[in-house]
Amino acid sequence: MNYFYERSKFHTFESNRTYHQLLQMTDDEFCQWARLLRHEVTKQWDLDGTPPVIGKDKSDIIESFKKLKSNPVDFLKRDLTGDEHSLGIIQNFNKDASAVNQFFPTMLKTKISSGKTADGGLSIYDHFADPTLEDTFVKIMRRAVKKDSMYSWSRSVVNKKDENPFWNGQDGYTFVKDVYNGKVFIGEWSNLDIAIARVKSDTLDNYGTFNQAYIGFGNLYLTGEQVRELRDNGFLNSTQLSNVGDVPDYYELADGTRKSYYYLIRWYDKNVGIFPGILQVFRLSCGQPAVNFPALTAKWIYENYTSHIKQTEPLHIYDSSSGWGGRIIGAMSSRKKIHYIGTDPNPDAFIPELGISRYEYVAKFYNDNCVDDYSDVLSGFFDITSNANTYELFQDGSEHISKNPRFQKYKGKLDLAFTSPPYFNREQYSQDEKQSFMAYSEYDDWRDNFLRPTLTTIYEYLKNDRYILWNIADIKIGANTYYPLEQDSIDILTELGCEYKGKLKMLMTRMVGLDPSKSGIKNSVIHEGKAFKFEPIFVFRKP
Amino acid sequence: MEKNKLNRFIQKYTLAGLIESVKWESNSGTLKTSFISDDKSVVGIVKMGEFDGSDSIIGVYDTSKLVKMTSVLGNDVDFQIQDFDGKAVSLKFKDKSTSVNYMLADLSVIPSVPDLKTLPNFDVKIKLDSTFINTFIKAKSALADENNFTFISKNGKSQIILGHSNINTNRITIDVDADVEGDVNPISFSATYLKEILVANKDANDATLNISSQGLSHIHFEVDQYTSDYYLVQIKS
Repeated sequence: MNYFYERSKFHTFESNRTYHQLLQMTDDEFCQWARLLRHEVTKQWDLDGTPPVIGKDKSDIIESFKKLKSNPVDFLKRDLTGDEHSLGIIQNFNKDASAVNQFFPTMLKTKISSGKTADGGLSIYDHFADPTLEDTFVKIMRRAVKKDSMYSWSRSVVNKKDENPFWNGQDGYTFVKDVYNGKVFIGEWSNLDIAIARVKSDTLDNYGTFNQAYIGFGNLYLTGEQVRELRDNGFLNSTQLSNVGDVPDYYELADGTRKSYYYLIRWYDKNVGIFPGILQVFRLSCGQPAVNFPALTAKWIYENYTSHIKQTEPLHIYDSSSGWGGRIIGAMSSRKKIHYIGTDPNPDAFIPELGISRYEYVAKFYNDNCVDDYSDVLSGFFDITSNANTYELFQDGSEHISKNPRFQKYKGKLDLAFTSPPYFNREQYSQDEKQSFMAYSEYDDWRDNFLRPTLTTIYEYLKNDRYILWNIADIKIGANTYYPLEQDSIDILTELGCEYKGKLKMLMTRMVGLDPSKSGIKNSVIHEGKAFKFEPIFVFRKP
Repeated sequence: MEKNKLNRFIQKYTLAGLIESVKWESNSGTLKTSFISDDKSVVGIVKMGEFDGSDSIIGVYDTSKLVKMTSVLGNDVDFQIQDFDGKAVSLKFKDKSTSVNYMLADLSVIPSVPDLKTLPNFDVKIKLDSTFINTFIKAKSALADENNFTFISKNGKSQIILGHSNINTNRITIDVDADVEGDVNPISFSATYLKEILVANKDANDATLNISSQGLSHIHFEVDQYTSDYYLVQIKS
């Protein structure tokens, strides 16, 4: 039996329909479809352990993992923003290690909270399985799928021919008539159709804001009056109008001002199915997904921050919150000899039937299939020695681990400490009482009884002239107020005797249409002309 | 030092970019490297004599980058290994007007290559003349998706086949003049690597492909100051 999930079987779902079929549904039919989809996703998740992600089969996981050893890790870029604390920008969007998520099937059950307390945190799983969220789920599906708010299946017709080559210079009104008269979607475009989408006037004004190549171009659009006329004269059918209701001309602001609605013409392929595009909708619209630490970034950190060490024995690297396995795979995929020491109290990361943690399971899977996979022939004629890196895992909370006699053998032997600890109560990896946000529900308590002892153990167990890398970020609790996890970490480690060297800025994948520099995001940086959200990784040296 | 001389050395191990990260070992005027392919189907050793660098072992992580960087230089270059704190940190190349500084990798991040412990009895010997080499390279280019080639010998007739299968497939069969002891059941090796090995050693006048039915094949090239040995490990489908 394998303890990882493989490729989802969405193609077998009864709810696997085309976008066109969804537009053809009445609202009641659509609600029934959304409930069926929710039921089928939950059933696959509960019975097979397969969450709503694409996933890879075992052979594809191995193929991706095998690339990790030789993938280049030249991720460090210069930070040209003038930030005196910056040690540089880490730019790594490689996805070869993302299959490690498949060994941690509860990742998308992580509840993400907002505000001061952990209460009210919701996971993506909750949106599917919690009966009280069924109506919310249907609403999300109506907005994000049927109305396609994220442009997953349809695109607006624009007056830019290379974007929609079937457009022949018509205005919106004539374009709709030409579609009806069979003059547009012919030949290679015969599978296409249009659907009308209602937007507020500022949507038209914002066109091209995020992409220089679109400035000067615009959407083809209709007024409410034009839509009604085209509808009443039979040029638009009910499927094409299924997202616009009774076609109002305007909406009113709170002060009574009237603003116009406009109607965009969207085009889509009638044969394109809801899957896999809907998986992105689940990730972005049904709560917030937990994110794994990129394995190759971890590998780069391990290799870069131990380059000054001259020793023949393996480097002892400690990860005080092993998380979702990204960092252990980074350690296994390094060609440096590494002994990874990790701990995490999350009971979901333990496989009782095997008596080992999921970290050990994925590391063994990696070593067996990607490192020491020598053929018998090669072993017969060549002197093969294992190239696998090693590991030891604990299930203790990092604030208590120094009391574990098995861990105490590492005192004074660690060559690097690197982790991404819990950001207090923001990500609730499980509801187990050993989780730090459960044990210490107030921030000050958490800082004094989780953060400080965790960092103290790291400091005391580290050799001299060694580094601590600490990926943490402040968490927002009000409009402009934060729990100061970053500064508190710096203060504790410098009080312990560390030198604070500065921070690395690990770029996060850009979200379509979101400009982090204008969205109130605290950690954002301009890199190569684009704004990115980043995660800070603070670097300390124990002298 | 002639840059082209070093490029010939690189060409024989990097195999058109299939191999990137290696250790260069310079000892008593000989520069040597060995490698194992990512799929562990090929082990190679390449040596170049008359090398005027100092004795050392250095880590070249990204050979393609090194080649690209030195391409800006003329053929006549000064070459130096830069040390810091007793450790080789970079390669410095310089021609009349331009210098190139290539950063070396920590040796611990270079793949370790297993040593040969024994050789089997090679029961097939195929002379690699220019006709065979050109035909094989063209065949592999034509069937680019075929990663393996298969050798078969039956009733005195020996063939190398790209696309060998029990079902009807696109395939190219090359009759070869082989010195064989008896029949040999189909045995497959990497065609991708063999093609690049042949391309990289086109400067050699002749060579022999030795195949053992125990699962190993070996090609040895010797030309000018260069000797190259490649061991291809049987690929089982």
